Amino acid sequence: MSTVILFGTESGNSEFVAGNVADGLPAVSRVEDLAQFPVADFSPDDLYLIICSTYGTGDPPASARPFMAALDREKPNMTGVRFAVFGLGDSSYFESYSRGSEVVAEKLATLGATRVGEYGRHDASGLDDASDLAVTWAENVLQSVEA
Amino acid sequence: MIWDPFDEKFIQDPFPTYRLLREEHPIYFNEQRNFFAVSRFDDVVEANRDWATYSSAQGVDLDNTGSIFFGEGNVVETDPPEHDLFRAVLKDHLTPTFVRVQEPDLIERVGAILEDLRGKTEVDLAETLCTRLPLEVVTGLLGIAPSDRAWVYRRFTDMFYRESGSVEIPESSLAAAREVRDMLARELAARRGSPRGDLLSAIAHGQMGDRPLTEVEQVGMSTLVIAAGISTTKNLLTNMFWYLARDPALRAGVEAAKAAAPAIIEEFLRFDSPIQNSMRIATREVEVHGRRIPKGARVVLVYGSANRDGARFEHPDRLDINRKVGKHMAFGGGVHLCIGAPLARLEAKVVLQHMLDKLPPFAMAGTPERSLKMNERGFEKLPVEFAAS
Amino acid sequence: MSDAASPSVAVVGSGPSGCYLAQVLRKTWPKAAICVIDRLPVPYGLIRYGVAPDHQGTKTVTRQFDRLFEREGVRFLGNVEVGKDLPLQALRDAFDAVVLATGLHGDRRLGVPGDDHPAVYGAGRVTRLANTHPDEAHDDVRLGRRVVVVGHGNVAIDVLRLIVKSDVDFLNSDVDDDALAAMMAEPVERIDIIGRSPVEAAKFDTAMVRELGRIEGVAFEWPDGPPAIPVDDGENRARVEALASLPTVGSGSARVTVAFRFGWSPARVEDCQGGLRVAFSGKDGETLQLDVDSAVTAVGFTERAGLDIARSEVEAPGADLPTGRLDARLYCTGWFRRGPRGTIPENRADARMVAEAVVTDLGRGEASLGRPGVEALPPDVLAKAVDFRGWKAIEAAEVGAARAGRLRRKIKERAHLLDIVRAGATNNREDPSS
Repeated sequence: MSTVILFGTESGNSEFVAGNVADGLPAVSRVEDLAQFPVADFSPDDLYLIICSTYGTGDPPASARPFMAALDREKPNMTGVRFAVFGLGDSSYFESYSRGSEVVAEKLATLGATRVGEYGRHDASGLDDASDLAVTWAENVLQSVEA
Repeated sequence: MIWDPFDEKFIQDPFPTYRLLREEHPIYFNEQRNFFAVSRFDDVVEANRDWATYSSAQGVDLDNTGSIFFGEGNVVETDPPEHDLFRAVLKDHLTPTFVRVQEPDLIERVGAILEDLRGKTEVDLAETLCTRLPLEVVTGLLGIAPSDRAWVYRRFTDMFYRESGSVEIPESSLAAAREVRDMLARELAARRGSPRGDLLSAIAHGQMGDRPLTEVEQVGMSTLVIAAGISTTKNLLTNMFWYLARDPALRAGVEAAKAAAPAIIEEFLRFDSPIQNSMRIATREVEVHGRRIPKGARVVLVYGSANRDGARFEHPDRLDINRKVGKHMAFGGGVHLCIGAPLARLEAKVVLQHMLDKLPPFAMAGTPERSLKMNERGFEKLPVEFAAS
Repeated sequence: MSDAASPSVAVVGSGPSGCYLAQVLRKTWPKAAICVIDRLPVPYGLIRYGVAPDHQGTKTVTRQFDRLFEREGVRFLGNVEVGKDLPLQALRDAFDAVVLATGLHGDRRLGVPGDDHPAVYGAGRVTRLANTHPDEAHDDVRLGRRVVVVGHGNVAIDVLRLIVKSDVDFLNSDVDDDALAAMMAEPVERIDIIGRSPVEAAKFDTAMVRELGRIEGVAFEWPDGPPAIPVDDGENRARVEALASLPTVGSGSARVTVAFRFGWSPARVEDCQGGLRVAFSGKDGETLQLDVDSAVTAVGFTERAGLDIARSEVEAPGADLPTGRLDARLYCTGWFRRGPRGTIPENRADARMVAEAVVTDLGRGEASLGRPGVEALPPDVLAKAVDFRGWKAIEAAEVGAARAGRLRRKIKERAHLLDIVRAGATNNREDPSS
């Protein structure tokens, strides 16, 4: 089983956090931009950690939009595919600040994939560091999957 | 004549006459010189605002300086819409940010002046500081080379020299103005081909709406910048130093309130305004305070009087550095509101904040020589004596 | 020494565009000598001085840039003004490639007579003041009791929000309280926010509108009548609905009233006894006059004549502006390249595009490479330069000086900033790697 991080970013924050999670977790084999990830490559053998921000009042970020469009077009069968989600956003813009990531998660679920682990969230208007939170979240997800 | 603006005695102390005008002749007609005068604050503000009735297009100087010196391109002597187009050439260069960014340079210049004053005992502040600083600033702004400054200064002094009591402009003034205009014409031509980022380049490439400024307009505008940028600030600074030299307690108060320098400068501007009046031409018959002003009449707006109007300012004849002045008429008002005001204020601020407390005690040494130009108030010579340090 | 695998590149401007571009270059060339220069002693440009001080979340984008300077060997050279301290040509002689990412700092005028009135303030100025920019002065801005904000973009809403917020609303921000106190020496009572777009075409984000509605003590008014909700779905409808849900006058005690007006173009600004009269015209020739104490204009940004590098003066005849190529080995990105439109993510995309052009051109092997980079800069420039460690010392000092309820207290005076850098440098004398 490989652990793959997929990120969806607007400003590079999610990419940055994704990189830091990869640095903190030796189990992670690669980090990919959702915009460049072929939806046909999803495999039930791997675990996908999706780190995704929110655009505007709840839309997926720029690099997630081609990914969402590809899912709609190709409708891959995602039965058995496991993914975990860490959503980034800013509550000063929007109360449900990580809605963008939820949209992605919901789409994957409707295609048959299973969300595992805790739904991680970071509010940019809060005082926590996103990368710290994300590393802890990723470790917890891995533990819960191995259990 | 109750008020002869050219009379030397009046020029030495105009304020009693102004009070008489405000109280008893708010719309005053001078038959010999053929002009009306508006002396109350509210009336001056209204006349400034109503450019359509009180036009600047036929000259704003009772002594005709403008039309003789500046010709076309004199933005001061235009009305909207032409005025707005002329002004637009200058305003993009003289932004608040641009002015603010000059402060470190100004502090250096003031430092250099201080160096030159070191060890001297008798000094004419009018020349060594009050003219030198705005001269350097304005020539720098325009892009005139430092080596040409002294030449510009001598011509400028000649341009604004007036004989006592005379309404005539001396031939030497006219000759000096011609020489300055020729020099500017050359400098502008040089920049038309290759701009240098200075104000002369901006003028050389200036657009009047959809056409370029003509050469004559460019020269006129550049001449105006020199005239408007130097003598006015010189007046402000000489006036301030005249008070500071005669009142050590005032000086101590100003030095102690460095952070309040901007507010203190507003009070100096109000109390002893560098520009005392400006003229307009009535474009229609108008009635003010029951007095009919005929169409075509020359109407003098007496800023120096408006700034001492008790209806607007409490204890108006008191110089109070703690006063919150608010709106005053030293920079005019309406569409012609002085475009150089931020620069003048910054120069005065730097002098008060970075120079005053570095000067030894000083007092007047002999009689200062007042400018006799009828619409200005300031000194041509301000001799002071520094205490030995 | 540098070569095609390791050229020397100078990026002028350490705002988001410059940093994003440096990011791509570093990823492509792990060993290249990359230097990011800024005229201020502190990095990050508009992130520090343009993003509103109460939008701290947006400012955290700098964390990814910190990494460039702290861990990936990109050099920061602050307090160096290209064009003033260092001629652009000297920089181009020292580096294989130079990228101009200097942005646009002038507030665009209204473009009507009287728009240079002293009480007309650009929104950029107001924001910079609230963000403690060294080049802005407290004395210069006095909003008075009645303000008109001209503009219908996010910048206009930012200014509006900064004006109407009370002290408690600024918790966990780094707003310059002294600047606010100077600007609002009198409490603002009424703000008209007005612009030429019709309500359904206004450019500000829905999220920004909803943020306004969450501020206590503000009542909203519709002098031209309540907004008509557009029939279409999507962002326009959501925006107008958000506007329509703002609390109106009479729904509680308000300390300030905000009136929204749409479809009005500025016509002229008149100096009035003690204030301004701003005249507008509607699309059918109607007129409106607002008598106010001050006007804040949020109608875009532009080059500043006489102060900044002018793009037209560095654009060679063969320039290809759409790809960011100005001249041989000279590039531009961000607002300097594309004009003053675009959020941080858009400038990220722009910087990545221009970085590709740099990589392509230098990798082609046509131009001779091997310029030494920083070492070739004049000693007086290097002596005055502030490095990233110097910035970190400033940051630590600002955080340390924070007042209660504030994240930091930014330092305004350049001299003070440089003193902190010098003091820090003395303490770190042994470390040669700065």
